[in-house]
Amino acid sequence: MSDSIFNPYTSLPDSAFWRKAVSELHPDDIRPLLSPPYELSADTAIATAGSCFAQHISTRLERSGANILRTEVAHPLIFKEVADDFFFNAYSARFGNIYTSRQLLQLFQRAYGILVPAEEYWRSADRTSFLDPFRPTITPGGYWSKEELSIARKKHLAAVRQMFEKMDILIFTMGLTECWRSRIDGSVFPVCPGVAGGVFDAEKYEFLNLNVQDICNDFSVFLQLLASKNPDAKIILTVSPVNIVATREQRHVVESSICTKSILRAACDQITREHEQVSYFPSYEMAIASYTRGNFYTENCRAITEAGANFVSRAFISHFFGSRLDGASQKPAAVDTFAQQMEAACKVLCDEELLEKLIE
Amino acid sequence: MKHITLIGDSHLRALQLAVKPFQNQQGLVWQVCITFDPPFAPPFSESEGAIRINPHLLKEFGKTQAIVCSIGGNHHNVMGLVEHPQAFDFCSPELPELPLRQDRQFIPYSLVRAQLTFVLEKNVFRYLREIQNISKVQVFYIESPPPASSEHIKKNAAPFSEMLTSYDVAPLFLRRKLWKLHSKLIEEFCDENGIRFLHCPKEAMEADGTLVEELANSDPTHGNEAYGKLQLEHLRSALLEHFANL
Repeated sequence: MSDSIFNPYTSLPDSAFWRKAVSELHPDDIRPLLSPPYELSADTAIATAGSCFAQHISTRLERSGANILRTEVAHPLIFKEVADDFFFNAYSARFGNIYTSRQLLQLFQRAYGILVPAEEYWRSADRTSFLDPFRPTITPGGYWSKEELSIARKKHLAAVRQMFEKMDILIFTMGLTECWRSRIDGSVFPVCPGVAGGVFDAEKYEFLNLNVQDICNDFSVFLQLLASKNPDAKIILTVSPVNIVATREQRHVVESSICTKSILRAACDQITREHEQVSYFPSYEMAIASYTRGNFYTENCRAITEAGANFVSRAFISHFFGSRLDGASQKPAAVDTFAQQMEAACKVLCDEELLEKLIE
Repeated sequence: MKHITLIGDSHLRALQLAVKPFQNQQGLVWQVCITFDPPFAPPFSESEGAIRINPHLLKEFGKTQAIVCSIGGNHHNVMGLVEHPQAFDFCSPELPELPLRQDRQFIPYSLVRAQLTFVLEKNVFRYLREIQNISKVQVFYIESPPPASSEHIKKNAAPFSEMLTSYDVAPLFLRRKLWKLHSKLIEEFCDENGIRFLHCPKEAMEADGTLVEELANSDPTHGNEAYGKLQLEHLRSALLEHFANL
């Protein structure tokens, strides 16, 4: 027998001990990560979805040369500034923010016709246009007719199907547990009816606050459905460190925010234990851990700073890609040579000398 | 005599060519300031984010009783005079009778609108705003000519000749939608800013919405001298009505 006394902790790595993994390190050097479950390469088709924090990771991954799958892109004639306002470059398809597991599940169900929500449209607040209740904020000005909305939705859902079928990995960032749903068919909305269009009616809509089991169930169904279309797809879950804007529960928003994140984190833990194709990346922990002393939060203490988003994204890239992304494979910004030619031709057309000649 | 100052780009050329017989008639004197011409070029400059109007134009504005603008007016053509290799279409509330072709990439109307607004803001609206801000008299804006027929564009292709060896002329229904939206956006801007928007004369348009061939210049987008004459007649009526109501 050895002199040292054996216990289950004696053979554990430094990362298992707070003193060695945290207290004795400079905060900048702390990476609460072990080895990645698998490696990603510059060819891996990555789909992104989730709450607004997901946009930070998506943008930075793409900038670093990762292959962010885009199945719904703006026409080349549309300038990037304009396309950005219409949420074209935020996620793999134009679904806007997906805050809850129920929204993700129902996005899949709507894309494949498993769910056809009774709620077809909302009217804009000024009643001049129609909005898609499942992405009401991403088309400034809305749609001018129900027919136009219906065409746009069909095209969008086709792009969503393409995303689910083509992706190798889905990075999904969970943001909320609180949501509003239709009493008719249980369809959940990204925002409460009446906030960004539509009219709130307590007989039509009800408040829902998902618990850990609800989220796990949503994911089980989602994963089963996804496997039927893309059996090799893997999921990386993260939890958004961004605090909630408001709560409908009868409690303080701080309590609700922490409760929300705790439920989401606990659900992630259970989901990753139950489904081998799902892994977790601790972006939430990196942003909120006590050793960061709140430095990654903006002045309002709700959102995450650029530095925080950069830190988390760099850690994600280093964890999953190692040095396999150097930005060199980054796709150059699409240049519409046709538009450039047209612009030049129109300029010539308006040029006085040429016009003079034409008139002569 | 009332002085009228017209300021604009290439579309104003047709009016400049036709203006002589209108001079000193019915109490109006016309000054055409084409922005390519010295001393009016360049018409605007920017300094520390502020737009400055060419001093020669300011001098004209100082002695005028009305300002008529025809700034820009071709941005719809940049989007859709020639068929883009990724053919597109959009629903048009302005022309709901026109088809939406399912074999083309669908772009939401609000997105086409946002794109054109973006371009117009950069190239037209900010200048109009500045003119309206400094002006003590009524400002008018005249609509661009309607789209020419596809045959006319093919026959008078320069400077699109080279592009048209690879691409086709965009179909009329799409060009009409873009023209109408372009006009609507400028009209909305004018309404919001106290500028009077003048539609192109109805007589200038065929039943299919194209510019009457006899009024088309020998290029793909502009009106000719006859079109200028027609525009001036309409403009004169609007101006006389305006002065009568003062």
